Amino acid sequence: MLIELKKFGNLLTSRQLGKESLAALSPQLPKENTEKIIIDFLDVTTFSPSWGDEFLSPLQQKYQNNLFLKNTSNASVKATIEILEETNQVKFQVE
Amino acid sequence: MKNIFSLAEEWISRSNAVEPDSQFFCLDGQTFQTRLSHLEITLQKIPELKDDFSFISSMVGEIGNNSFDHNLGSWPDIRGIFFAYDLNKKQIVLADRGQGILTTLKRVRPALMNDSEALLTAFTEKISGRAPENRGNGLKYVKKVVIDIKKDISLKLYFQSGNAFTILDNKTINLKIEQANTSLRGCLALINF
Repeated sequence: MLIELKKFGNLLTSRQLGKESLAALSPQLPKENTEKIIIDFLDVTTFSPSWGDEFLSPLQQKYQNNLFLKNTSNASVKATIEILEETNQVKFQVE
Repeated sequence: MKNIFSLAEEWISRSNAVEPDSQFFCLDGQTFQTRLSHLEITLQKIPELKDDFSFISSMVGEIGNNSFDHNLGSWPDIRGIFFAYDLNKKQIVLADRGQGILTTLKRVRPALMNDSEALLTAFTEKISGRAPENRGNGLKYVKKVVIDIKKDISLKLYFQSGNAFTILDNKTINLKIEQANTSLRGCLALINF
């Protein structure tokens, strides 16, 4: 499954919006952890830990080794992934 | 334009609560998000910020959204934040007349004694003022972006809550909390880039 974050916006900074975005996506997510989930950051211009923690952290917890991130070259995307890895003691897989 | 930092400091220090000038006022998170989006688009157009603009917009997003998240339902008087930028001076200012870091963090860390301890904790430890929700990365992210991450631009942050303040830049090795002459309610932040 491919999740294109640009469909939620280009500036992804608010905790509330991160939570709402995940809630909107939830019905489409696989119930079981059996398929590859790719989160695509293409065209995300600003990303921050508040949004990321509400959206990415639950997906990482649920899909673990089946979760992959791609197009993570934006400076704030890279910095946010790093701080989420440090504080949540996880390692995201980047394609 | 009058110095935006002075305007924010004046507003946050007033004993009688009034809303700031509407051009600098975000009553709610939605208004802040809209104005932050405008700032982001403007920053993207500055050639020297081509690769680094998102460091600035994400920092502003974290500081501004923290004000709304940590004061939701508990604003002492004026709900909302002061948010202004002067791109000629390369300055961005955020301020709120909220509860401040000490009051917020004391809920989950009752042993915190003063503003200095609270500010140090907010910038260095994983702790959330809204525990058990998993929060509390915002100011640590800001610190990481200003101090630790290699980038083409220099960033400087002044952040005050109560009578404690800190100044961070890319030369900061150990975060130092200092005592301000005057105590401010809420939080006051100045970003220079």
